[in-house]
Amino acid sequence: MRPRSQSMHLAVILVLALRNLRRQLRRSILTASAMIIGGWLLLFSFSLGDGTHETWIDSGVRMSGGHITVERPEFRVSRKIEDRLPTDVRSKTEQALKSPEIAAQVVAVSARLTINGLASSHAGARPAQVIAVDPIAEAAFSMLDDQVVEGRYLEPDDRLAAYVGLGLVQSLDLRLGSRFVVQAQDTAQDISGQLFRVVGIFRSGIPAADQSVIHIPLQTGGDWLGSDRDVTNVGVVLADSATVAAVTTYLERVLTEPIARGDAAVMGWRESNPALYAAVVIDNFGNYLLYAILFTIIAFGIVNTVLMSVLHRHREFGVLQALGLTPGQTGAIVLVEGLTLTAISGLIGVSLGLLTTWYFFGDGLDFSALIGEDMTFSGVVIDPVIVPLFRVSRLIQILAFILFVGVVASIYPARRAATIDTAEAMKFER
Amino acid sequence: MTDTDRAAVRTNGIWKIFQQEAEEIVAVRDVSLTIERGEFTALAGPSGSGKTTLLNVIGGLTRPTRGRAWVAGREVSEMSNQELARLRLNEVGFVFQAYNLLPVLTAMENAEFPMLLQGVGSSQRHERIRELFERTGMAGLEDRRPGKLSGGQQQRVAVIRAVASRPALVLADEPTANLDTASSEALLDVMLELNQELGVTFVFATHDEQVMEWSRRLVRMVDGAIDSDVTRS
Amino acid sequence: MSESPWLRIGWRNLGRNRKRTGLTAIGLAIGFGANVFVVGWSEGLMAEMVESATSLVNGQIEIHDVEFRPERSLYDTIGGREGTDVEALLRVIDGDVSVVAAAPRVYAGGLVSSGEATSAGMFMGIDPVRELALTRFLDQLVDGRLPVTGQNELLVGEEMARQLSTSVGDELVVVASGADGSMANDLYTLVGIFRSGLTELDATFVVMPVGDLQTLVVLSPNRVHEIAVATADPMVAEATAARLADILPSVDSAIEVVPWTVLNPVMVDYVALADSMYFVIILIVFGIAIFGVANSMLMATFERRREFAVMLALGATPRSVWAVVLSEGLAVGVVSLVLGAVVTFPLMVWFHNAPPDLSMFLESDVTLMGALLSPSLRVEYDVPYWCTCAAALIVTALLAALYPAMRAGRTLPADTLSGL
Repeated sequence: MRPRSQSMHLAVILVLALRNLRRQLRRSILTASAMIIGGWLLLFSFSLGDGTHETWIDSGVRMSGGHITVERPEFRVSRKIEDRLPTDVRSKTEQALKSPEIAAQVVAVSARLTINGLASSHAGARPAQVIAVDPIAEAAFSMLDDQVVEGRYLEPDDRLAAYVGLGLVQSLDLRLGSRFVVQAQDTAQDISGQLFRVVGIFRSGIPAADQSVIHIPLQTGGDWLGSDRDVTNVGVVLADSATVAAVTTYLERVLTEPIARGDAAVMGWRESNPALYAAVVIDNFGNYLLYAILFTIIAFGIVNTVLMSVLHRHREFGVLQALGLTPGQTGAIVLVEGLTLTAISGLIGVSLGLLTTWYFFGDGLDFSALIGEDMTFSGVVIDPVIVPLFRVSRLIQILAFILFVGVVASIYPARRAATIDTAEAMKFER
Repeated sequence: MTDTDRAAVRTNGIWKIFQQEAEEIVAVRDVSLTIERGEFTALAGPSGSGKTTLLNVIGGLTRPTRGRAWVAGREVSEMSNQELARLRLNEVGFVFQAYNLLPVLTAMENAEFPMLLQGVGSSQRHERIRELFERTGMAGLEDRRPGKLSGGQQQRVAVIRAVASRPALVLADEPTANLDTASSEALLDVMLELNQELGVTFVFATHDEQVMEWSRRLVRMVDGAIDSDVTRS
Repeated sequence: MSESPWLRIGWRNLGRNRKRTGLTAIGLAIGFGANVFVVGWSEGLMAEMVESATSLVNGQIEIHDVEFRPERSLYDTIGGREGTDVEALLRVIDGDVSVVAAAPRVYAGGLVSSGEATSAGMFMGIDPVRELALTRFLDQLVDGRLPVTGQNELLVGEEMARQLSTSVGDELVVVASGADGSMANDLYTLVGIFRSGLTELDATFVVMPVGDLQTLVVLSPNRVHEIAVATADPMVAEATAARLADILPSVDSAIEVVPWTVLNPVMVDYVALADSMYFVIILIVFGIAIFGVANSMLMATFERRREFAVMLALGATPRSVWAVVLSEGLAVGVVSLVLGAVVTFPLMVWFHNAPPDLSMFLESDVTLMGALLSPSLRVEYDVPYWCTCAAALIVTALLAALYPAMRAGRTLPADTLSGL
């Protein structure tokens, strides 16, 4: 008996709410319009934001150690050649990355020997970051190989070849084919020099990289510094930054023993590239701020609409209560009204946002008219073409947020309706 | 033609037909009527007899379906909206059953509103209003807003508003319907005094016996047409 | 009552439904406050970016030999191989009204070794007194003190100290190639460690007195690579640079005077881009807010359609009715503006003078265009932009009133008043 009467009440409440929205159609539509546009902007701009961040992360990690890097715990701070990765850890890591559980997520793997050195020519000397790489693996990993302005990237048979940043080339007054010397500390802790020839010059747009990075063949680096085929770190590029946690956990399980020994550490990009993470956080913060403001404005619009409709229907609520509705049920009518309005308009807005996202999914939006070629943010060049990214988690987050705004905006009017004095409301004809 | 000029209102075979879905409702049926300046006339009849519609046609608020109407010698049935607004402003004053004062303006501001639209200078406006407030026993209430006045007082402000702009005629639609007998009598007293001393022409639409008794000429309407037209001496 | 009653009627009507007016005004006020605030914050970031880029290490203006950029070769000192009278140059530069500080610098690449480890370094020779007035990165050392000329003392960045596992008081071997082609090799004492926040800098820069570096790399005392100049405001750098270029005494080899806007054109573009984004924000925020105002105005005019009918019956034209409704819109705008300003400006003053610290949310320093940003919400004042926002708010209120005004003007007096 009781549940049935309650569900009947609920049906009555829903019908009343819907009819009231229809009765004030123009008002409902105006309020809904704000919500529709808000929802649309919200979904689309977060898709754009997430897309942008994914690009930043991808190019940022390709310029540094990858989404995930495996190295000795001391290496991150010391950057010394003696803190290189033990051979067994490297092979275990490379093996694990090929395993079927995670292979689908792995886009590229590059094992590199990264050291600091001093590059000098007749024009002077400059500090340089020397990265000894396997040319084929690195070409898939890094984006530098595509950013060649002159010459070519390293090839497997190269010996004394160097692929050098444009800034460094200019500083040392080098050109294609020029020879120069790099001095660095070798495994025996002596300073040892090596002659290189410039085979290619790149320009990434990131000043720090263009002024200091030199790629050399791994074999040459090993011969020069006495490290043989050893590397300092293994970098991994993944298809989607959202899978970093899962792959990190997997690698940590495989490498449990060397990690316990203190011979290895698995680091995600947030740890190894905190500046990039900070850039993403700051950019998101700006977005959150803007939408918090927009939806506060929208919420006031909803409060206004629903409250006015409550105040105009004083007598009607009086009648409903006289007919036996409890104050709670009277409030529920208003709450449902506000929620229905929010839900319908929010859904329309979000659908429009999805449609827009989907439309730009292929080619992305070209902002190159607005954004210059070489804008960097925390060491990442900002790509003027933004491909929006759709994530289900983001969609759920947005829908929940819109409903939350609807509930919050309806609470005050609902309370007003619930606290109506029945006798008083019936006395006056409006 | 001089005849028309002297008359405050003259109508010739006025029809007003409303289209309601498929049905035609005849609100005013072939009404020809002349009201001279200075008259104090009541249009009487049960509700739905067409008196309000006739008043609206005369006041330029609505156009007749057929027939012609002149107010102060000017034909209203042919006027544009702009011309109608000007006619209402300069030649017609309105008094409504629900007073219809603008709630955000004071009694004084309400009364001078039409003169303000006419562009009458402020000293002249204030002089006229003050005089009318005195005459109608409203002195001292100039700065009250309508919410702070009784129904009778509000209606007197409405009458002042209608009269102050010196129109050719004042149309009053059931002016006493919301008032008690004493207030009605006081109001009619004021209007009659204005009629006799200032020569203001009043036309009432009413079914209030009291108003009919006070009026000099009584035009009775039934089903949109004039049933009888009696002038008392 | 004034000659034009519309404004007064519009204004007084606001008071009739205080709750509705209040809610509507709050919406608009938030829009105004949000715009002013978000843009203030963004401008704070921009100002800080420029400030940081031009005062952390670089100056707002750099003076070089015309050949110095981009190779930054050891030989391309001001005045060419012969050098110049640096003191005389500095005197002229110091004489300019906009110049706050100027400092000579010498640069050379080399190696630093702690015995345990070796690092490649960029040596920077400075005049400690002049440099402190110009740049910020030496203001607060992590450890130790500034080097003294002639004592073979140097400073390294925090990151390099870590890589070399060295600390204040240790001896370091310095290797650098001299201008005469020799390989210089000398022992120095580490007397201090600095931290700029920019990793490249903290990992590579080695700072020593300019005279010591000139001796090390065999440059005579009249040969410096750069004179860095600080101006009172980054925005006057271009004008100051042009002025300096005219008054500097001529030397054997041409001198170039480069403001930061030329050294870092991307940063200038970025500031321009941010500027253009502000108008998009205005558009979005007020574009959303307009619906709330329109709705509220529509309700208000619908409730009062009887009054409009009366006005029309009394001879007012539809235009007068529009004037009343638009005046009401204007009045809503003014109320919102006052409300917005009253709430926003104290907040702006607070966030300008004591910005909240966001560092707990961030694990690292943030760099923008290579410039270090502090993790705070400091806002800048921009009066012209506030005026634009205020104008946008009023326009929004008026636009929102337009449709309700037109509807009110179309009120049919006879129908609305019928029977009453």
